[in-house]
Order: sequence, then C-alpha cells, then structure tokens
Amino acid sequence: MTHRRDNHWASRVGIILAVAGSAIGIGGFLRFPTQAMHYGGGAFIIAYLCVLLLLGLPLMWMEWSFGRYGGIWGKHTLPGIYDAATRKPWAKYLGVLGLYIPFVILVYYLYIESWTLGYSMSVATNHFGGENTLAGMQQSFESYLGIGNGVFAVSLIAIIFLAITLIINFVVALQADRYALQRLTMVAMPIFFLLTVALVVRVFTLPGAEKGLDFLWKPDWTQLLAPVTLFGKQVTFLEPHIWLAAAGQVFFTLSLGLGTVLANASYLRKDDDVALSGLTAVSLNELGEVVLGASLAVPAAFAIFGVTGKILMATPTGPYDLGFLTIPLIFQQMNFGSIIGALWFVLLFFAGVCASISLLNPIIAFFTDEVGWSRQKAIWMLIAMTLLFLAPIVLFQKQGFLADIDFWAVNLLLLIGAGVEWAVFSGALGVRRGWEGITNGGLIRVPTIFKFILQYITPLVLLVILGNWAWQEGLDKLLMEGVKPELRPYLTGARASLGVLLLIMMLIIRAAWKRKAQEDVVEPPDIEVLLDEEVDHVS
Amino acid sequence: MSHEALTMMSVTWGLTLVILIYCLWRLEKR
Repeated sequence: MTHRRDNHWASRVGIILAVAGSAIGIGGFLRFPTQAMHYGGGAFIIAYLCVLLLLGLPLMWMEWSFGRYGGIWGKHTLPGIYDAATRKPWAKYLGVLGLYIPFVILVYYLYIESWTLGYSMSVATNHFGGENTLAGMQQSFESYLGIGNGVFAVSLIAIIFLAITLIINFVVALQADRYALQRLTMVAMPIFFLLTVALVVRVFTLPGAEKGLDFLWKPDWTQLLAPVTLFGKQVTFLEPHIWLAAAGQVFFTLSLGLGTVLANASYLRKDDDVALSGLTAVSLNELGEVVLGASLAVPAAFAIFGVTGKILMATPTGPYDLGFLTIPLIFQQMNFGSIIGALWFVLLFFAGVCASISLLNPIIAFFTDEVGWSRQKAIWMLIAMTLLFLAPIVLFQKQGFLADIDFWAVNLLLLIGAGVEWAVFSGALGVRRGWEGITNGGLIRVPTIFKFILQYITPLVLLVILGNWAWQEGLDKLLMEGVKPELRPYLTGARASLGVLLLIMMLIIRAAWKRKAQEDVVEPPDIEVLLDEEVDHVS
Repeated sequence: MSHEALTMMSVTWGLTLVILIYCLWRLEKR
C-alpha cells in the first residue's frame, strides 16, 4: 500500500516536472523569447499574462480533473476518455487530437532538441569565439543546420546529433520504468535552475541589457489593438497575430490542448489532489518562462548586438532561433564559460528529453491499451513514423517547413484541442461535476470565481482569439498570401503531410475500436454509475 | 531601465515566486 502511495506521489511530482520540463527548457529559453521578440516584446507579454490567467490556469485544472476522471473509467488516452465520457461513437475520433498533436509537435521538437546537444559541443569547443554580430551568429546557425544555396538543408553534424537524440529518446521510452527518468530529473533540474540563475545574473550585469528589459516589460499598449472591418464598419479590436501567438505560447508551455496532461493525470487516484498540483505546474512553468526565459535571450541580444527593438522585431528567424543566436555568447562573458555553457546546453537537452518523453507517452499508451500492441511494437512503429515525417522537416528547413508546421500545431491545433477538451468536459460531466472534479481532494481551495471563468470566460476568450484570427488573417495564411511563389510548393507539402498524418491516426483509431468490437471487450459501466460511485467515495 | 518596466517586471516576478513558493510549501507540508 505504501509502495502504491509512493508511486502515485512519484506520478504527481513526475507530471509537474514533465510539464515544467517543457517550460524550464526549450519552451521558455528558446520559443518564448523568439515569440516575444517578433510580437512586440511588452505587448506580447501583456497578452500572454491575460491568456495565462483566463485560459491557461483554468484549463490546467480542467485537464488534471478530466484526466483523473479518465483514470476512474479505466482510460488513459484521449480517444478512450472521450469515448467513455460521451458514449458517442464519433467522440473517439475527436480524441485523435490527443495522438495527432503530440506526435506532430514531437517530430520537430526532437530536431530542436538535437540542436541543443549540438550547441553544447559548439560552446565547449569555443566555436563562436570573437563573434559579436547578429548576422554572424545567424550564419553560424545556418551553417550548423546545413542551410546553404542548395535546395536541401544537409549537415553531417546536425544529422549526427539528431541521430543521438532519437536514440536517447526511444531508448528511454523503451524502459518501462517511468520513475527512473523522474529520479534523474529531480537531480538534473535543480542544477539546471542554479546555472540559469547564474546566467541571468551575468546578463543583467551586461551593459545595455536594461534596454532589452525595457523592450520586454514596458508595453506599447497600442500594439494590442488593431482596426478591424466588421460588417462594413471600422472598429478597434484585438490585434489577431499577437493574441494568437500569446495563446499558442501559453498552451505550448503548459502542455495544454494536446492531451498529455490528461493522459498523465489519468494515473492519479480518485481522491488525489489536482488543485494544488495544477497551480504548482503553472507557477513552475512561469518561473521558467516569464522570470528566467524572459531574462536571457532578449536582454542579451540588446547587450551583445546593440540592436533596438525595431531591428529585433524585423529580424527574420525560425520560431526557436533567438536563443541559439544569443545565449552561446553570454558564456563568452563568463569565467569558465565554455564548461558552464556546455553543461547548460546539455541540461537544456535533458529538459527537452523529459518533454519529448511526455509527448511520446500518451501515444505509446494508446498503441498498447487500445490497439493491443506490445510496448516494443508500439515504439518501433513510432520510430518509423517519426523518421518518415522528420525527413522533410530537416531537409526543407530553409523553405520554412518547420516554421509552418510549428505555426499550425502550436497556434491553431493546441487551441482547437483545448476547445474540444472543454466542450467534452462541460458536456459530459456538467458544470457541477466538472467543478467537483477540480475541488475534490484539493490541498488548496480554488477560488469560486474560477468556476465562472472556466464556464463562461475561458470558452469565450478562446473563441474570440481563434475567431478573430480566422476572420482577419485565416484565409490569407491558408492561401499563403505574401509567401514567395517558389516556397509555396514546400508549404503545401508541409500542410499535406499534416493532413495525411491526421488521416492515418483516425484510421488507427477506427481499427482499434473495430478490433475491440470483434474481441467483444467488456466496456466499463455507464459514466453516471461511475461518477456516482466516485461521489460516494469522496463523501 | 524605466520605472514602468521595473514595476511591471517586479509585480509579475513577485506574484510568480510567491505563488510558486506557497505551492511548494503546501506540497511539502502534505
């Protein structure tokens, strides 16, 4: 019994750390500053904080609660949870988002993860010695990725580090002992945190860094709004790009909308706390993002390159690039910079591995629980699929393949995924039971205002952000307005590959349910019975 | 660094850290 309790405890800390790993890591140090830089610095942060409070926090609680309900019904993946929650035959197909989105993100995330490992080597060998221009660092970055005059981006060194990354990830995934990684995380993350704090202190003492902090923390409020034509009338409304990008970043950081939190929380017991765990996950992420993440790449760019906000906003980069252009140069300003820098990038890589494993887990769980494959067979299948979809992302990086997939996955799919989760949660459980799920077993009291926010404000804000973008920019983005004609075939390819993948995932779900029907698998009892049992248990 | 930026940064950081420390303290207390 004690062992079982320890496992559940380890599971909860594991979820928090896995969620934090995706923020105190690649999300916080690489994606967040790059997004903030492109979308106006302070204005982006204001939009980000609004979204965090109105969408991020309530949806985090909802996902923990919904996942825990899923576990009570004996389901650990989104298609299974939706199926059990609604008892509707089409609901499992909505659950495809819980396999599709993690896989789409996983594929290119693995590549970015490999860059951090590659950069640990570059920093260790003082590869950037003497470099102090943005253009020079961009050139080094492109050279690492093999982006040149040819059509394909091919670089032996990038491929080697990618291969190492893939091997490490899939070997870790093959180990059924999920707690081994958690134990390692408990040691590695505090070291990473302390090194990052030292790095932040160094950045803050660089002359010129304060201009970068001004750019991030002194918002130009006018950027948050834009003129919109609505039914023939000119009105001022939310600026669509900034709000969509801010929402995408919050969801990416908190791992919301893609079903991984639900899948992990499904291993909790029915009387386990979700209120405190959800808030801890959110605040840990924000430590990694608005405290530490905001204090490295952007202020360092101002201090080292002497750029202005306008120059930075206009600099074309991929969605994760700014950290690779600036952070290596911070280490040059430190004693033992090569050693500290190499260790920091290795730990960033480790944080990335934690995040990618948490993306892999729900897909593996689906293949083993619902399709009936062995864990090994599931992982081999995933390796084959990853290689197939990773190849064009690596080869056509120059043509914007990765950036386009990242845009659709993070800014659109995560928001849609969260919207669907909210709809199923509210529809299947109802407001009273949904709220009970969040507060039952809580180690803290969730303010009742969040019941109102989750019920009305969250879906409304989500709808407004998505609808506003779709109304103003959606068609242009879809039709690739403003994209060079020679790049359009590549972006069409990127989108076609997303479509094919979705189809494959839906066919797998169909096959899984067909198999279960043929094998006459006994379905769990009706949801009402299970919910009543749970309420009895709690009371 | 401007006064406005310093205020906004301090408030955001302060809230984040206070909430995080409270959460970790409650988890530990359990």
